[in-house]
Amino acid sequence: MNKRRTQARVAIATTMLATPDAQLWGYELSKNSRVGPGSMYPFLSELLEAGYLTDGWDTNRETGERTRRYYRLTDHGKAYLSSFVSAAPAASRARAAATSARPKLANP
Amino acid sequence: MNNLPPSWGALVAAMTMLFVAGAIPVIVTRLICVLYPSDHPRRAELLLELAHVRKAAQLPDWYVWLGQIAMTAVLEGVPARGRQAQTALDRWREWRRLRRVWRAGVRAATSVLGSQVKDISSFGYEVLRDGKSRLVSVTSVGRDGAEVVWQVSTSSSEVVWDASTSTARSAAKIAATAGEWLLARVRVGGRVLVRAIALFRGVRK
Repeated sequence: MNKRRTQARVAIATTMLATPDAQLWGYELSKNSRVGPGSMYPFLSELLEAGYLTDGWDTNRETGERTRRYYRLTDHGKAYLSSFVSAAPAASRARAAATSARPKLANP
Repeated sequence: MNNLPPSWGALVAAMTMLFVAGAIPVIVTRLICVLYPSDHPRRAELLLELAHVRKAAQLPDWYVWLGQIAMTAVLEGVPARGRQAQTALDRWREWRRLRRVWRAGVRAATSVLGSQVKDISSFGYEVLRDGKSRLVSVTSVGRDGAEVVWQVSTSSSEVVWDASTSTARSAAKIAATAGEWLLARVRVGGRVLVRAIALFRGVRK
């Protein structure tokens, strides 16, 4: 797994850790962390492959059709992202904290 | 549009708006998703996300999002397509290599059995005969060798394993003990890639 601690990755990790037990959706995560999908999705894929995230599909209860894909942090993932963020440069952490403090989109 | 009556102008403007806000994002997202292999989960994910983007964001932001996922698809989907193509190419090369191994085995068997060989139809089907079938599975060992394992069955539903290993060079020995039907399946990683059958006139032990 790529262990680079870019500002985008730190921002995503910080946003995820803000609600560690919640289901996360791609677009909301992207908006809340102020990181584009081009940086976010590859990072999510890496976390999934490493077992730090689980994923699944929300379905419409009436039709049974998929409505969107969600991600959820595993216990290993929480520990990993905590150490990932704490080992990041202070400037990245400060920026990520400022980003996650801004008003967020409400999850549907 | 200046020559059109006001009601027509409004209609054209409404249709244009519908197209820009309704059809274009869907069409573009679908086109972007084609960059991903058909079994890639991101393909469905992005299509489903579009509905939420349209609810949560303003029209200009939809197009910003489309641009961003286009870049994502190029960075993520195109390499995935490349890996898929490489896998298919590798499988084809492996199939060709194993086919050479199998053919070498058949040549060796033919040279020993001579006229006893009635027909050898090489690849693509599998025939079992109740009470008489002899199955031989061939897996590759090294560059030009083959591991041969044969089964003795008394019926098509009952299989008794009588295993042995050999190389392609001694496939003739296997063929000589195989009886009327010799059926070989070449496997890679548990997946049957090549099936071959050689039909012999008599049983030679």
